[in-house]
Amino acid sequence: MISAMNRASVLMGLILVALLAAPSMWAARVGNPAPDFNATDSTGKVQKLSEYRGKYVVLEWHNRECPYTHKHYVSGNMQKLQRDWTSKGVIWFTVISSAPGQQGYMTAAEENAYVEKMQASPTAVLLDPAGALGHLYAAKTTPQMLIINPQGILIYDGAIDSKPTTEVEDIASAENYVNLALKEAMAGEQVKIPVTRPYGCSVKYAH
Amino acid sequence: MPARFCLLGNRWLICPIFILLAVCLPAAPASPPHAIVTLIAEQRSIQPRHKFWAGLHFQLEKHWHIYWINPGDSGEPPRVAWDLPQGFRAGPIAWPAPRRLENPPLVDYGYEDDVLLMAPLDPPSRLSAGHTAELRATVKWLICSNICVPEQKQVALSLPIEDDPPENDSRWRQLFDQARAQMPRRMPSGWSATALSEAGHFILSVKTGTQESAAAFFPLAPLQIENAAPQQVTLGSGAVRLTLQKSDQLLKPIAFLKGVLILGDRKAIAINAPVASRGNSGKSLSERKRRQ
Repeated sequence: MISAMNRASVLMGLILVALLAAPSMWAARVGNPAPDFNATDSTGKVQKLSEYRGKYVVLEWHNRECPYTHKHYVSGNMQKLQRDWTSKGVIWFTVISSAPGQQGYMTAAEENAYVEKMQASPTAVLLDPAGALGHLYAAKTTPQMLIINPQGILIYDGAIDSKPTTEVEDIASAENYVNLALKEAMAGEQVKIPVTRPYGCSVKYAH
Repeated sequence: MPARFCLLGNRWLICPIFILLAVCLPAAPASPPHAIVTLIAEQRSIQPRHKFWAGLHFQLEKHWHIYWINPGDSGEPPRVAWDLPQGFRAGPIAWPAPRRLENPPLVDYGYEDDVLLMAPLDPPSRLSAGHTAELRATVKWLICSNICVPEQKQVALSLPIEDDPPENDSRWRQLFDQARAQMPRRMPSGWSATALSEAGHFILSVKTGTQESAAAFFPLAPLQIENAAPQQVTLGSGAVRLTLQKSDQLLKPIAFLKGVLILGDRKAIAINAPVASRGNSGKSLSERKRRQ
């Protein structure tokens, strides 16, 4: 059950996201500037994308109960990516766009407990129960991954890796598109695979 | 979460089992499966060297669906790993025409209720009549309603090997007939399909010589058209024209638009339309056709 305080904070989050992440006319598209947003994270802090200009930013759409997301957390794969890249100065936002009552919806307290339990280390978890951020970036699946470069340009949009399955044993032999894109971009190279079909569960937006 | 339980608890003996379970059966369904899957064959026996059709019959729980080879915006198509007697070869699944599964703001492509996924099996010539062939497969599928569950099953079927031409198995005749009726067919002779690439969309034109009552396009490749965008359809006399919104993630020109066109009452036609751009000369179009 959601406590009164959590309800209030969710409501505040909804309002903030609705007010500040108003969908722009420019859909998120690789090669274009990533649309700016303000979103409340699970510690109550408002995160503004444009404040991170000068850094790489990863957006990870998340639903812990989705078997595809589960695969990358139970294996430790996602946490390793978070550790590896945040330690290199990358900003990592896990984004939850599940609507209240839908699979994967989390209160701030529930999400903070999960992050601790799973030893996840994103920079922050953005709570997007109204789906404004999800719609702004046309996020379709969990896990869907996007990468924004220090100039604020979207440089990758798609799957986490090349094996669209729910099986942990596929991770080792999969090509990880996030690693690939970040390595290439940081080496000053073109991202060779800038878009892929994001695989996974549908993002559980409000109906 | 099992891993956490291990870290905090003192039940070290149980721990490896939990880790093993967590690794081998991520999100394993605790509830009964949402699909019944059986392996059937169109015929009652196997004749050496004579190809035949087997099928994975999916009977789905109401309001749950599985996916087409291009699942659309989310999901994953079923996979089959055959375990056949020596010398047998299995061909790829023949995918029946899918349905459009609305899941706003997404659209997926797949099947509801009941579907037969047919696959050709090719037995070797050296088979001894009087023996039995054990056909086995591991089938893995994602099944979704509001939520998604990965499921899997080992299926098996024994068929006698006989030198005589086999008889059809009357129990499955209707299922195989239905599946064949839903299979995309090659374009009839005299038909043609071409596509024009414009700023935000493709215009797919198919000359049919018929008057159709409805048309819908299902792309085979992801990231070419926006699955959820409405398709603007013009049904002319002898031709259909569809305006298909390009995917926001389509960054490069494509040479062919491949997919399945479903006309009228579920008549499915395989489409491989060369794509021309406005301003492209007719020459480049014919060059593309030659490469096809």
